[in-house]
Amino acid sequence: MIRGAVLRAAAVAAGALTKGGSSALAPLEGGQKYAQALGASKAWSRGYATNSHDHFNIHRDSPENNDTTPFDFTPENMKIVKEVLARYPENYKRSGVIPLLTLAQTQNKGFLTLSAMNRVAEVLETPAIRVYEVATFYTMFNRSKMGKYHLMVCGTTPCMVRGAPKVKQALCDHLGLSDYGESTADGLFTLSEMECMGCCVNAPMIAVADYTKGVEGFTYNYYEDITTKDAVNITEQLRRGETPKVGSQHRSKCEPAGVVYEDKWVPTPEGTETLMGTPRGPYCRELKKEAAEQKQ
Amino acid sequence: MESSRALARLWRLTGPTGLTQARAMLLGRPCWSQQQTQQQHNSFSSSSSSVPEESDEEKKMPDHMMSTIVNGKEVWVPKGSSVMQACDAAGVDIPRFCYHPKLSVAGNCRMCLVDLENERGMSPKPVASCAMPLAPGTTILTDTDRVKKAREGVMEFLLLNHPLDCPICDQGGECDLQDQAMHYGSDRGRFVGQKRTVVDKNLGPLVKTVMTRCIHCTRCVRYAKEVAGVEDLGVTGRGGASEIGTYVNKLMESELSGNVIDLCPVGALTSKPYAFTARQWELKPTESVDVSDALGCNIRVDSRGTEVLRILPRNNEEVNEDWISDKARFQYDGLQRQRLNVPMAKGAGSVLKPVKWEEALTAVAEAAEGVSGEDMAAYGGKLADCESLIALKDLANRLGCETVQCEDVGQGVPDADLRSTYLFNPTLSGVDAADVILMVGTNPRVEAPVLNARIRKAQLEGVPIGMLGEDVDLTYPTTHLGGAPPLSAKKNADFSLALDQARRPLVLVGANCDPAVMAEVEELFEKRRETIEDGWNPISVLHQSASTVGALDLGYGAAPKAVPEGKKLVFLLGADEIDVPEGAFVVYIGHHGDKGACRADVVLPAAAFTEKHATYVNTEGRPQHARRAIAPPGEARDDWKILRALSEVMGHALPYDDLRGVRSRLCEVSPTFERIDEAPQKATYLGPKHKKGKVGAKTVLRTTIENFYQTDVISRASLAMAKATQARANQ
Amino acid sequence: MALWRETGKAGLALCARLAARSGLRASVASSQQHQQRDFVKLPDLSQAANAIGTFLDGKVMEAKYIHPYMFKQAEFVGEDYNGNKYYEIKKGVLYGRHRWFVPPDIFEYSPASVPPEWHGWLHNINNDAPSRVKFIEPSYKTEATTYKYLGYQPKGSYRKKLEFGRKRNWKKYQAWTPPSA
Repeated sequence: MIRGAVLRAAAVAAGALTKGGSSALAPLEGGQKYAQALGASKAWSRGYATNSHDHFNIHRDSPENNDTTPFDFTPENMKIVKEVLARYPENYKRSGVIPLLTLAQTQNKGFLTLSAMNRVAEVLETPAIRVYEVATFYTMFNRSKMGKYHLMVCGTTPCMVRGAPKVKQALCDHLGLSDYGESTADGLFTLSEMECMGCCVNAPMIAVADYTKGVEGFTYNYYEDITTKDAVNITEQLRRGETPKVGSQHRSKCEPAGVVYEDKWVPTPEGTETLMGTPRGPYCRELKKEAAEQKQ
Repeated sequence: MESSRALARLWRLTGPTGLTQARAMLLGRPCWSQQQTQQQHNSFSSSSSSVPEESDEEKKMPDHMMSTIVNGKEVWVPKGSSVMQACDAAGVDIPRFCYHPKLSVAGNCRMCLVDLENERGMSPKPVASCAMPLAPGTTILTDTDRVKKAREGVMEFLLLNHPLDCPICDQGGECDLQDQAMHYGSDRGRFVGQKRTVVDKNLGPLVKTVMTRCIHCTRCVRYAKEVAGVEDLGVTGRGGASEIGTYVNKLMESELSGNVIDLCPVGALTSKPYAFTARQWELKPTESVDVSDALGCNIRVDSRGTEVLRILPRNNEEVNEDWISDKARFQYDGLQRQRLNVPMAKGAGSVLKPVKWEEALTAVAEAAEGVSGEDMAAYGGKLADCESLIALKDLANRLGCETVQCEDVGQGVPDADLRSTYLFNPTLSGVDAADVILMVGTNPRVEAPVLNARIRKAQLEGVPIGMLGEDVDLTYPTTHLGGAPPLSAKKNADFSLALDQARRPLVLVGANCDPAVMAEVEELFEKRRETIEDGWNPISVLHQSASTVGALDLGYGAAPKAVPEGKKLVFLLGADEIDVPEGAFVVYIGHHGDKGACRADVVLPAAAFTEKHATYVNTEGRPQHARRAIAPPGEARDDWKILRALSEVMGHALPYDDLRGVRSRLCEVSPTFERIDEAPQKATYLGPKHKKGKVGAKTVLRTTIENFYQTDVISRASLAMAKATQARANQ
Repeated sequence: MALWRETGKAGLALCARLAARSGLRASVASSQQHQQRDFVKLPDLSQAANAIGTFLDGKVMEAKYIHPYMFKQAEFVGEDYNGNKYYEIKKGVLYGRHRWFVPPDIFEYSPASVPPEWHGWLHNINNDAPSRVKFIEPSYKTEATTYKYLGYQPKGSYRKKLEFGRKRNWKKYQAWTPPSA
């Protein structure tokens, strides 16, 4: 009984919280949620996959991805395959599964089809299931059709604290998507969430995988210190075919030049960016002011 | 002061290391030392036979054994054992999910955690006993608080995402998770979230999957990879979203796929034909042997009332280890269909009509009047047991008939006098000892899948395997040497070299090879007689049906494809593959209505292998008993009883009346039947017995089995086997 | 059983008269609403009414006398094909007594007459009452033939209708029929 009461209280609280959130994430009533789940088009259907843009950890045949979809390595890439396999002993060809899968993915415009995985298994002389296991384990292997640019927003704690949900909302609104994992209708962008990519100092950040230039021209660039405006600018530059500035958008590397705070780039005040001078003494936050702000 | 010290000592003894401390105190020395006192030995009661009785016996312990202390008990185990094996030897229960003695160690369930202690103290973390090799000087503690907490914690985690399916799960009542949760788990859980669900996989019409119940022990994955040889199962995804399956919609195309049902500790993989039929406590188990192939795999027949509900394997390390083939496991529903339950005789309209036993038997006697011995023939079938075979032979011989033959014997057997010419001579466990294996005209994958698993085990150890015959996929890599012997040394230099140097080669010959092929095979080994170890006979004949070796032991010959013309009275003891021409009066004694019964003039219903006490001799010459689990349906009787009654009616009564009489007659004929369940002594190689002939240059030897799932009457009548055939065809 | 029915009916009548006489709605609702309502000072007659009220099924009293006419707080949620009416009181009542159903015949009813879609709501498994949320029927749902409450009848059930002249076959095996010429 107590548990029931607690659960109901939690449900009420959840309901109150989601009132402000997007309608796509609010829990639906009874029958509606079953019908939607069968359509498997909403965000929670992707909860079964390792990454946010695939649906499941099993294979579902689709017209563009079944066992008759043709795939083979191009002759240039075959040379790279041979070079990769040469790094490993003859009887341990399976060690090369991750580089070969990456190669297959970048050759195939970011889409690891079933036949791509089968071809990699053939090359490695291993049973196909071992390749499937590796491909479903890692988040960077995409087993669904990707856009030409794969935008990945980091959603882990440091970035989240610095405004990653705002970046996500801005990108979703700008591209006309409703959640992570979706692609734009023109097939140019796919938005997804990624785990921490290591630039916590330069939070928030997005990474863009560029599948337009094939294997040789494949780039995986980080765009850091982005505000929502920066994010939108980057996508527009990519749409026009330009190369946006890689790395931090507002400083050169990760020097203490400023921070993205509340969706604005706030440069560090003068005199506080190095430790060459005397550090300023202990100071107190203005608690009363903050309390007053929070009350609003 | 004294009392407080004593109290303190007593308090120490109740702690986790109390027992070891007690022992140290009593012995006056640390506990892992080799020298034991007499008093100490006698004070420990142990349940394992490997505990030494006397202290000086210890020095007599072979070098490969080491001792360790488990919960205060000392045990001696072979060096290289894991901690779990030491605990098992001591009789201490260790819960486990992912460990299986026949599979590689995974160590991912974390249920077998125990505490280890040595002179430096307790292990900082509890240790997975299945994976930890035993080191000298360690004490194993399985009843500390920490171990108990670890087990409760692991159980709580396993039950977190486990659905509340016990009422509808087939594994309820025999579920490892239920049992271990009762013994080692806590009584309440703290989970208030939502449980994850997993989509069910389609592994075929025989194995039912409910993957939400899967606890990811990966036993099925390791089994498919190591034993069955079809690497189709894997763990896709990771963490809470991991799923075990084939990733694509793939059938599990292995003849041993049913064994994952036994392996799975929860109800994720269960038997589809058996689904929702019974609970384990309702079933009566009967130990028996399987007759779907010639291996005589030991099975346990579970029955309830008058029907057999499922068949499970029994462990027999020498014959089938822990596995049985799919046909053995799932063909039991054929025992419920197409059954002969009343005696039938052809009435006026030459259509079989049900009659009473007296009428049927007198009909046979009337038909036999005036027929001389040469015009009679008796044929034993594939599933005929030795008791009925001897009864048939005795009756036929008393009637003057000498044409007593068994179908499916194969022309490769020249005479039944020398046992070593038609047996699997090195015995099935000898496959583990062989160093080269050559297969001639046989496909063990369909003829004897459990033997195939054994050969696969040998191949993984590095034994080279060559195939002469059709190039088939046996789930392990083989060297294809040609279509038929002789073995060309030029083309297959590596293999010939290996064969030349082998001390214990094994030649697996299909029983249907003709004598010329057999002669070639013997020729192969005539040349290499010096290198072959003494007492090792490399020729191993793999028969295809359960009755063959028994029939050969009892003096039957090989039956032709069709009965020769001129025979007026033909007895068919379950023989369905023999063509009987018109004009012969056919008496069919069997249990299923198949081709034989359709052709018959008199049908006498007999009992199937689950319904009678029978003896079957497997391909290595080991006689085994099948026991009666249920009563035969309707008016059916045991086959030998029918023949005894028939003999009485025909005037030549057989001298035995009961089962003991028949079995003593069996021992009279062949002394092998006195040593039930024992493999025969290794029969030495006595030189070539086959006449040399010409083997065609272009012949490609192949097995006679077209469809693995439907080879005898029971499997042809079985729905599960039909579905399996269809699934394979659609794949 | 009949006696119970009689006493029940008599008791109901008595309580009705008592309630009408005292004009105190709160006194009759002895079991459930009792604790949560703030009621006025009652004369001692309420004790007798309470005693009789507890003798009868509290819910039945509510059903017949309280909700349709008296207390507006009880909300009529819906009715199912068996005639059961489902009520709910959202606030002001003890948890566990906030959802109930009233069968058409209050003296001869079976709790098994609650169909599965209402069962979930009634037992607080979910909050989806079929009159508020559209339910998708399972694909295996068969037409209930004889007994409306149950769809599937096992082979030995007396409710299972067989065609005229058909007998049930309890043999566990199928005998072989010989080919006719």
